[in-house]
Amino acid sequence: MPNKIFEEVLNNVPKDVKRSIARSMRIAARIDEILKEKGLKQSDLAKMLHKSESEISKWLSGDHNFTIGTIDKIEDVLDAEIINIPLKPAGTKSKMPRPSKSKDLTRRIKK
Amino acid sequence: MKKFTIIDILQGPKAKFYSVLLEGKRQSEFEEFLTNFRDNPEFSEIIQNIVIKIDQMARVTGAREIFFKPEGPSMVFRINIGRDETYPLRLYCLRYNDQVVLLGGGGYKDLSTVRYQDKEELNNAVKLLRAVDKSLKEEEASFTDLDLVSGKQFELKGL
Repeated sequence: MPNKIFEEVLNNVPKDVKRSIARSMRIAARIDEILKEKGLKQSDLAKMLHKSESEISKWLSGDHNFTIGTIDKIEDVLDAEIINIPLKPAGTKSKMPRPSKSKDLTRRIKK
Repeated sequence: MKKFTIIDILQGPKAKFYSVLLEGKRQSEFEEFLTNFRDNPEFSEIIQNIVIKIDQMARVTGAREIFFKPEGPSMVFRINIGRDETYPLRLYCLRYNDQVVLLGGGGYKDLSTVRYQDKEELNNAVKLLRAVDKSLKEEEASFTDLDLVSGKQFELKGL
Protein backbone atom coordinates (compact mmCIF):
# COMPACT_ATOMS: atom_id res chain seq x y z
CA MET A 1 0.00 0.00 0.00
CA PRO A 2 1.66 3.29 -1.08
CA ASN A 3 2.22 6.02 1.44
CA LYS A 4 -0.80 8.36 1.72
CA ILE A 5 0.93 11.72 1.18
CA PHE A 6 3.06 10.27 -1.61
CA GLU A 7 -0.04 8.93 -3.35
CA GLU A 8 -1.90 12.24 -2.98
CA VAL A 9 0.95 14.17 -4.59
CA LEU A 10 1.39 11.56 -7.33
CA ASN A 11 -2.33 11.57 -8.16
CA ASN A 12 -2.26 15.34 -8.64
CA VAL A 13 0.44 15.22 -11.31
CA PRO A 14 -0.98 15.97 -14.79
CA LYS A 15 -1.03 12.87 -17.03
CA ASP A 16 1.12 14.46 -19.74
CA VAL A 17 3.85 15.31 -17.21
CA LYS A 18 3.75 11.75 -15.87
CA ARG A 19 3.96 10.29 -19.37
CA SER A 20 6.81 12.57 -20.43
CA ILE A 21 9.05 11.84 -17.41
CA ALA A 22 8.18 8.13 -17.47
CA ARG A 23 9.22 7.93 -21.13
CA SER A 24 12.46 9.85 -20.56
CA MET A 25 13.31 7.57 -17.65
CA ARG A 26 12.67 4.42 -19.70
CA ILE A 27 14.92 5.68 -22.49
CA ALA A 28 17.62 6.61 -19.96
CA ALA A 29 17.29 3.20 -18.26
CA ARG A 30 17.58 1.44 -21.64
CA ILE A 31 20.77 3.39 -22.47
CA ASP A 32 22.14 2.55 -19.02
CA GLU A 33 21.28 -1.12 -19.63
CA ILE A 34 23.14 -1.13 -22.99
CA LEU A 35 26.18 0.60 -21.47
CA LYS A 36 26.33 -2.05 -18.74
CA GLU A 37 25.86 -4.91 -21.19
CA LYS A 38 28.76 -3.60 -23.26
CA GLY A 39 30.97 -2.80 -20.26
CA LEU A 40 30.95 0.91 -21.07
CA LYS A 41 30.69 3.98 -18.83
CA GLN A 42 28.94 7.28 -19.32
CA SER A 43 32.35 8.82 -20.01
CA ASP A 44 32.81 6.39 -22.94
CA LEU A 45 29.45 7.42 -24.38
CA ALA A 46 30.42 11.08 -23.95
CA LYS A 47 33.61 10.52 -25.94
CA MET A 48 31.77 8.59 -28.66
CA LEU A 49 29.27 11.42 -29.08
CA HIS A 50 31.83 14.25 -28.59
CA LYS A 51 29.85 15.52 -25.62
CA SER A 52 30.82 16.37 -22.05
CA GLU A 53 30.21 13.85 -19.26
CA SER A 54 27.93 16.32 -17.49
CA GLU A 55 25.74 16.55 -20.59
CA ILE A 56 25.39 12.76 -20.75
CA SER A 57 24.60 12.73 -17.03
CA LYS A 58 21.79 15.25 -17.67
CA TRP A 59 20.47 13.13 -20.54
CA LEU A 60 20.31 10.11 -18.27
CA SER A 61 18.72 11.91 -15.32
CA GLY A 62 15.24 11.02 -16.56
CA ASP A 63 14.30 14.58 -17.49
CA HIS A 64 15.81 14.90 -20.93
CA ASN A 65 13.51 15.42 -23.88
CA PHE A 66 15.30 13.16 -26.37
CA THR A 67 14.91 13.98 -30.05
CA ILE A 68 14.74 11.16 -32.59
CA GLY A 69 18.04 12.48 -33.98
CA THR A 70 19.77 12.08 -30.61
CA ILE A 71 18.36 8.58 -30.15
CA ASP A 72 19.57 7.68 -33.67
CA LYS A 73 23.08 8.87 -32.83
CA ILE A 74 23.17 6.94 -29.55
CA GLU A 75 21.85 3.78 -31.24
CA ASP A 76 24.49 4.23 -33.93
CA VAL A 77 27.51 4.61 -31.61
CA LEU A 78 26.31 1.87 -29.24
CA ASP A 79 25.21 -0.40 -32.07
CA ALA A 80 22.04 -1.31 -30.19
CA GLU A 81 18.34 -0.58 -30.35
CA ILE A 82 16.94 1.85 -27.79
CA ILE A 83 13.36 2.12 -29.01
CA ASN A 84 11.45 -0.65 -30.71
CA ILE A 85 8.06 0.26 -32.14
CA PRO A 86 6.13 -2.88 -33.05
CA LEU A 87 3.78 -2.49 -36.04
CA LYS A 88 0.88 -4.76 -36.86
CA PRO A 89 1.47 -7.32 -39.61
CA ALA A 90 0.25 -6.31 -43.10
CA GLY A 91 -3.49 -6.86 -43.58
CA THR A 92 -4.33 -6.45 -39.90
CA LYS A 93 -7.07 -3.89 -39.39
CA SER A 94 -6.60 -1.22 -36.79
CA LYS A 95 -9.47 -0.80 -34.37
CA MET A 96 -11.61 2.17 -35.37
CA PRO A 97 -12.88 4.52 -32.68
CA ARG A 98 -16.44 3.86 -31.53
CA PRO A 99 -18.96 5.78 -33.73
CA SER A 100 -20.32 7.92 -30.91
CA LYS A 101 -16.85 9.04 -29.89
CA SER A 102 -15.91 9.60 -33.53
CA LYS A 103 -18.96 11.89 -34.08
CA ASP A 104 -18.17 13.73 -30.89
CA LEU A 105 -14.60 14.28 -32.09
CA THR A 106 -15.86 15.59 -35.47
CA ARG A 107 -18.17 18.02 -33.65
CA ARG A 108 -15.30 19.26 -31.50
CA ILE A 109 -13.05 19.73 -34.54
CA LYS A 110 -15.80 21.69 -36.39
CA LYS A 111 -16.19 24.03 -33.41
CA MET B 1 19.81 8.99 22.67
CA LYS B 2 17.28 9.61 19.89
CA LYS B 3 15.55 6.69 18.26
CA PHE B 4 14.21 6.14 14.76
CA THR B 5 12.04 3.68 12.85
CA ILE B 6 12.20 2.66 9.19
CA ILE B 7 8.82 3.06 7.48
CA ASP B 8 7.55 2.01 4.03
CA ILE B 9 6.92 4.67 1.42
CA LEU B 10 6.47 2.67 -1.78
CA GLN B 11 7.09 -0.95 -2.70
CA GLY B 12 7.26 -1.89 -6.36
CA PRO B 13 8.48 -4.89 -8.35
CA LYS B 14 11.74 -3.11 -9.24
CA ALA B 15 12.58 -1.11 -6.11
CA LYS B 16 11.46 -0.37 -2.57
CA PHE B 17 11.50 3.07 -0.99
CA TYR B 18 11.57 3.68 2.75
CA SER B 19 11.97 6.68 5.03
CA VAL B 20 13.07 7.52 8.55
CA LEU B 21 10.63 8.36 11.32
CA LEU B 22 12.31 10.04 14.27
CA GLU B 23 10.97 9.27 17.73
CA GLY B 24 8.33 11.81 18.79
CA LYS B 25 7.54 12.96 15.26
CA ARG B 26 4.28 12.37 13.38
CA GLN B 27 5.77 12.34 9.90
CA SER B 28 8.83 10.69 8.40
CA GLU B 29 11.59 12.87 6.96
CA PHE B 30 10.32 12.32 3.41
CA GLU B 31 6.67 12.99 4.31
CA GLU B 32 7.76 16.21 6.03
CA PHE B 33 9.68 17.22 2.90
CA LEU B 34 6.59 16.64 0.72
CA THR B 35 4.33 18.46 3.19
CA ASN B 36 6.66 21.47 3.32
CA PHE B 37 6.91 21.95 -0.44
CA ARG B 38 3.90 20.34 -2.15
CA ASP B 39 1.59 23.36 -1.93
CA ASN B 40 4.20 25.97 -2.76
CA PRO B 41 3.74 26.94 -6.44
CA GLU B 42 7.45 27.71 -6.70
CA PHE B 43 8.28 24.07 -6.00
CA SER B 44 5.27 22.14 -7.26
CA GLU B 45 6.97 21.18 -10.54
CA ILE B 46 10.02 19.73 -8.81
CA ILE B 47 7.91 17.90 -6.23
CA GLN B 48 5.92 16.36 -9.08
CA ASN B 49 9.16 15.42 -10.82
CA ILE B 50 10.46 13.71 -7.68
CA VAL B 51 7.31 11.66 -6.98
CA ILE B 52 7.02 10.49 -10.59
CA LYS B 53 10.65 9.43 -10.55
CA ILE B 54 10.22 7.48 -7.33
CA ASP B 55 7.08 5.83 -8.69
CA GLN B 56 8.78 4.89 -11.98
CA MET B 57 11.88 3.58 -10.24
CA ALA B 58 9.74 1.43 -7.95
CA ARG B 59 7.61 0.03 -10.75
CA VAL B 60 9.64 0.12 -13.97
CA THR B 61 13.32 1.08 -14.05
CA GLY B 62 14.72 0.22 -10.61
CA ALA B 63 16.68 2.74 -8.56
CA ARG B 64 19.51 2.97 -11.05
CA GLU B 65 22.50 5.10 -10.11
CA ILE B 66 21.90 7.37 -13.13
CA PHE B 67 18.82 8.77 -11.37
CA PHE B 68 20.87 9.92 -8.37
CA LYS B 69 23.80 12.19 -7.65
CA PRO B 70 26.32 11.47 -4.88
CA GLU B 71 26.45 14.05 -2.11
CA GLY B 72 29.83 13.99 -0.43
CA PRO B 73 31.98 10.97 0.33
CA SER B 74 29.42 8.73 2.06
CA MET B 75 26.38 6.71 0.97
CA VAL B 76 24.25 9.85 0.73
CA PHE B 77 22.78 10.66 -2.67
CA ARG B 78 20.18 13.07 -3.94
CA ILE B 79 17.57 12.51 -6.59
CA ASN B 80 19.02 13.71 -9.90
CA ILE B 81 16.71 16.35 -11.30
CA GLY B 82 18.85 17.14 -14.29
CA ARG B 83 18.46 20.90 -14.06
CA ASP B 84 20.12 22.04 -10.85
CA GLU B 85 20.04 25.68 -11.93
CA THR B 86 16.29 25.84 -12.40
CA TYR B 87 15.31 23.31 -9.73
CA PRO B 88 16.89 24.54 -6.49
CA LEU B 89 15.43 21.81 -4.27
CA ARG B 90 17.33 18.89 -2.82
CA LEU B 91 15.99 15.56 -1.59
CA TYR B 92 18.59 13.37 0.07
CA CYS B 93 18.55 9.60 0.43
CA LEU B 94 20.62 6.53 1.14
CA ARG B 95 20.74 4.52 -2.05
CA TYR B 96 21.94 1.06 -1.08
CA ASN B 97 21.45 -0.63 -4.43
CA ASP B 98 19.09 -0.70 -7.43
CA GLN B 99 16.32 -2.14 -5.25
CA VAL B 100 16.56 -0.34 -1.90
CA VAL B 101 16.47 3.39 -1.18
CA LEU B 102 15.98 5.10 2.16
CA LEU B 103 14.55 8.58 1.62
CA GLY B 104 15.50 11.37 3.97
CA GLY B 105 14.61 15.03 3.95
CA GLY B 106 16.04 17.99 2.13
CA GLY B 107 15.25 21.57 1.38
CA TYR B 108 15.73 24.66 -0.67
CA LYS B 109 19.20 25.34 -2.05
CA ASP B 110 19.28 28.86 -3.40
CA LEU B 111 21.69 29.65 -6.19
CA SER B 112 24.01 31.60 -3.88
CA THR B 113 24.57 28.48 -1.73
CA VAL B 114 27.48 26.60 -3.24
CA ARG B 115 27.82 23.74 -0.74
CA TYR B 116 25.05 21.93 1.12
CA GLN B 117 27.13 22.37 4.31
CA ASP B 118 26.46 26.11 4.12
CA LYS B 119 22.72 25.65 4.53
CA GLU B 120 21.64 24.36 7.94
CA GLU B 121 18.50 22.63 6.66
CA LEU B 122 20.43 20.69 4.01
CA ASN B 123 23.39 19.96 6.24
CA ASN B 124 21.09 18.55 8.94
CA ALA B 125 19.32 16.31 6.42
CA VAL B 126 22.64 14.87 5.19
CA LYS B 127 24.00 14.46 8.74
CA LEU B 128 20.85 12.64 9.82
CA LEU B 129 21.10 10.18 6.94
CA ARG B 130 24.77 9.51 7.71
CA ALA B 131 23.85 8.80 11.33
CA VAL B 132 21.00 6.50 10.22
CA ASP B 133 23.36 4.66 7.87
CA LYS B 134 25.91 4.24 10.66
CA SER B 135 23.26 2.98 13.10
CA LEU B 136 21.86 0.46 10.60
CA LYS B 137 25.32 -0.82 9.72
CA GLU B 138 26.19 -1.28 13.40
CA GLU B 139 23.01 -3.31 13.79
CA GLU B 140 24.06 -5.28 10.70
CA ALA B 141 20.76 -4.58 8.97
CA SER B 142 20.38 -6.23 5.60
CA PHE B 143 20.27 -3.59 2.89
CA THR B 144 19.11 -6.01 0.28
CA ASP B 145 15.79 -6.11 2.07
CA LEU B 146 14.93 -3.38 4.53
CA ASP B 147 11.54 -5.10 5.01
CA LEU B 148 13.39 -7.09 7.63
CA VAL B 149 13.91 -3.97 9.73
CA SER B 150 10.82 -2.01 8.68
CA GLY B 151 8.91 -0.97 11.78
CA LYS B 152 11.80 -1.81 14.09
CA GLN B 153 13.21 0.93 16.30
CA PHE B 154 16.92 1.79 16.26
CA GLU B 155 19.09 4.07 18.34
CA LEU B 156 20.47 6.98 16.35
CA LYS B 157 24.23 6.95 16.70
CA GLY B 158 26.78 9.61 15.88
CA LEU B 159 24.53 12.66 15.61
